[in-house]
Amino acid sequence: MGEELETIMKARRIPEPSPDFASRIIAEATRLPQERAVRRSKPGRAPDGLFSGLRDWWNDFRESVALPQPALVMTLVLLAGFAAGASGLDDSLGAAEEDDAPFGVVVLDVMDMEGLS
Amino acid sequence: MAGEPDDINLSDESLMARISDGDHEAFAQLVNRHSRMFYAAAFRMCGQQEEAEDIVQEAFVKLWKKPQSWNPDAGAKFTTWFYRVVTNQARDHLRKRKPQTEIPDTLGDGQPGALEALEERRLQESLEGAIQNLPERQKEALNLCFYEGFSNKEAAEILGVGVKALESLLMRAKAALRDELGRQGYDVQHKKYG
Repeated sequence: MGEELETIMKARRIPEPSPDFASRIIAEATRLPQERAVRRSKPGRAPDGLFSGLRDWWNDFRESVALPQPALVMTLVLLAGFAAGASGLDDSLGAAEEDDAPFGVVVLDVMDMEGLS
Repeated sequence: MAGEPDDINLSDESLMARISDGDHEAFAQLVNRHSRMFYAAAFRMCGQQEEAEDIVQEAFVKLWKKPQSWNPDAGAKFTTWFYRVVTNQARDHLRKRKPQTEIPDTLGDGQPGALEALEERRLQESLEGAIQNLPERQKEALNLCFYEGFSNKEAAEILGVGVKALESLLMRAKAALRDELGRQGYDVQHKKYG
């Protein structure tokens, strides 16, 4: 009985697609831009994880600036140093005094706050 | 951008790697290689030529826009993975459209007066209607295993079910087809009576 059903099932026919079917698909698709991959992990490496993303970002960055890796690292370290110096790390690490507050902004000491409560 | 002359024998996986780099020629080759096969699969799911073409076109457009959605490291062959894409696309279409069963004119104009042609046409219509009226999962299982030639394991992977569940879907699909064709006057053992 099963074989006979399969004989009947083989009678099923599929109509031909439009003659320009494939070329229509190609034209429609390739006029659209491709979405850039968020993460492009290489085969053989773990596809997920923070470091995978950071590595991909780093590789993209290297490609975009086209500098050798040591020069890039040195530049980034120097930039980080400048940024830290310009933001005044010394002040931000210590306790701010009322007298130090620029432009009249009052920074309350923690001890004073406790006294208020 | 343009492919090499010996690209004709490149594997699907190699073509996909090139498509990821925006290679139009590789995409064209992949479409020319597989569009008819996936069209047939889409037609078997929806039963309408125009809709089947739309389904396959949308799937290929998605593939072009986001080729990285196929992960070769996941282990699935490209065709297996893309069947899943087409199947999902077809499901979306079927859910959106109004309930209807339009039997396609698969034999063209036919030959008036030719009894055999009429009987063949009637059988085609009955079969297509019966298959299209199967529950979605049963229909997909039947299409993949019987018409697309996938192994049970591959079909189960595409449908996201276990092999036992797939076999159960196939059994129920065939039983339902037997019942429906029998109800319409076909004797599945002797093909046709009355």
